[in-house]
Amino acid sequence: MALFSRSSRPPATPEEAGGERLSAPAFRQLLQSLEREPGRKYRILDLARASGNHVTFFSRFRCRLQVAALAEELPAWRLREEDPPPDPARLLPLPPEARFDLVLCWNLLDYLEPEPLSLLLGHLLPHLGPGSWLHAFIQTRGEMPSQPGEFLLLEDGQMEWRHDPGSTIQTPRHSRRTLERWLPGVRVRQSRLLQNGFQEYLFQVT
Amino acid sequence: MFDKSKKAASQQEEKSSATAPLQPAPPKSSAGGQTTTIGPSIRLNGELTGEEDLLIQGQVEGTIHLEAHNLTVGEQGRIKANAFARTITVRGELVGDLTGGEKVTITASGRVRGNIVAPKVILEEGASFKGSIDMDAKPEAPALKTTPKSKSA
Repeated sequence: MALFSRSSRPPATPEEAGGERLSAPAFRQLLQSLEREPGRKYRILDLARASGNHVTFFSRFRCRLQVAALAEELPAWRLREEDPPPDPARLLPLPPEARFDLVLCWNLLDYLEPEPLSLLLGHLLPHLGPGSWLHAFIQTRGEMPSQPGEFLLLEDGQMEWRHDPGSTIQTPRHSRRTLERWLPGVRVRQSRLLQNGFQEYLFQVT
Repeated sequence: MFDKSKKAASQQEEKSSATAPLQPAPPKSSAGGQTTTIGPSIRLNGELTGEEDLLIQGQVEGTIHLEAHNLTVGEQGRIKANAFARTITVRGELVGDLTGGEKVTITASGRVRGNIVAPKVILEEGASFKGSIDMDAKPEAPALKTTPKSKSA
């Protein structure tokens, strides 16, 4: 079965949508490993905004997909120095017993300052068991769109990143070392620089 | 209390569906095509059960049981309830858990906070949803063991 055989919306051209095609080899290999166990039920946490494309795509697996819609809460996660720190349990409530096999961060970590980012990752860690995966894109270029945009899973095995190219902000350039420091017990299994400047990370809980 | 003249409601639904993107086909009506409408001025608290399709344009709090029938939350509907129905279509706002025997659809105007269990779930572009979607409610298998090929750059 083709990995990306269905899409829930008619594909617009990248130019029309402000979109960029990208291949994400680590993500693709991860999906191939999930497909090797068709009877397995996966628990997936999608930090992005609710997407019919993601729901349709992951419906090929037996899975429970938790949609966190973190992008909708980003203003509450951003910190000014005088503000109290964000409360991850309120912004991303998860039942204590919730465990995830895969967390899809997409590029949302780029939109969090170091302190809220460390709080978010610390909040997620207790919900990841041994062997769990965490996938993320980190922008390495100097600027990025002011909003995270949306990642679509395409039929040809690639992704399309739709975003507003109009307004940009400076990238925080989170380093691999920083991410590993905030994810104790989690190893980088794959890391690749993609053509559009994203560093693709696939982490796994050891 | 209930407006059982279905034509106006279904015409309104048809009109709105003509303008919405990627609108799914309306669920096949059950109970001989009968649909009850809870109008926009109605507020209802408690347990709601029925043997016909239901369109809610008002406010409902509690639980909704229409296991063999179709439930539609219209654009003006405001629901705080757990709902059980054959198909559930949300065009308005709903806070609660949804169990659909066949399908749950959140349209572009729909806003849902809660958990969904259904064999098929459709989120239209523009729909707002926060919660979990269980598309296969079979018992869970043991923890993940396989690993893809590792390659660090």
